[in-house]
Amino acid sequence: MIAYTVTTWEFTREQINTVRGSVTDYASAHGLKGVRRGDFVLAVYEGMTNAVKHAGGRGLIRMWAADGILVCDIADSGPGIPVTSFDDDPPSDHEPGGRGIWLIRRLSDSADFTTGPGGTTLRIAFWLDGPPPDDLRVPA
Amino acid sequence: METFRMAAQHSDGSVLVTITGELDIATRPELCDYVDRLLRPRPGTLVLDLSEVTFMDACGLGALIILRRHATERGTRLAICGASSAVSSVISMTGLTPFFPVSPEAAAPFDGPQRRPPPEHVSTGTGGSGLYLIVGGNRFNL
Repeated sequence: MIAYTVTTWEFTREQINTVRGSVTDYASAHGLKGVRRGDFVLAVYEGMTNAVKHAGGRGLIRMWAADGILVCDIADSGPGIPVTSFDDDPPSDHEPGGRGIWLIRRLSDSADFTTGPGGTTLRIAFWLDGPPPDDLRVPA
Repeated sequence: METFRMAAQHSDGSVLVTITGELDIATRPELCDYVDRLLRPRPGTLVLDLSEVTFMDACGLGALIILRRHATERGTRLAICGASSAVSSVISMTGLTPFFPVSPEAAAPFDGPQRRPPPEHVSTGTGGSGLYLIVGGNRFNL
């Protein structure tokens, strides 16, 4: 059996910036640096703001590192994400919203959404040794 | 957490807004309120200095899109005179660079006395001893 130590944070709208700080520290402690760490933290933050705005205002983060991969699950109990939110094209240039999920998918080495009426779990993964070759990237 | 700060400088009917800190879901309402107030008198140009923004998310980018629209509606030109890497990476990733070009020269009208080099030719002022001290470009009559 292989066991990983998982760190969890609950968040509400008031706490997302504090949790973002904790996520940044966690990523640093596991060796993610510079632009890659910035991309990771922004992707996780976009996941949290989605939960806060569209999924009941709260959620749970679980983070762990295993086999050279940093993984972050962002789970909420919201109504699920409509399929149209997963368009490959970004919103029009004049549209102020709707870029969160699009950004998460561009920023992350892998971003998996498990979503339905019972809630959403977004799993963001970053390779700690640098981005994986394109053929190993998991299409989001 | 870093403090979010905004400051405005006025010059010849234009405004320079300097933003420091994190521009995200938490600070977006504050930014929009502040800039909307500055847009009310319809300045010719509103310049945003984003070079000290340490973090920007999609909500922060959304704020820039909204403010650009509000500026256009009032006939104000919106310009960005500086952008940190946190800002420029999100703008370029979302393909919005053509809409938010960075033009450092947009800040030129706001180079106040503190940023202007001391004058080469100086004349003695009326009053006082005629002597003065220039500190950081500011003139103090003695």
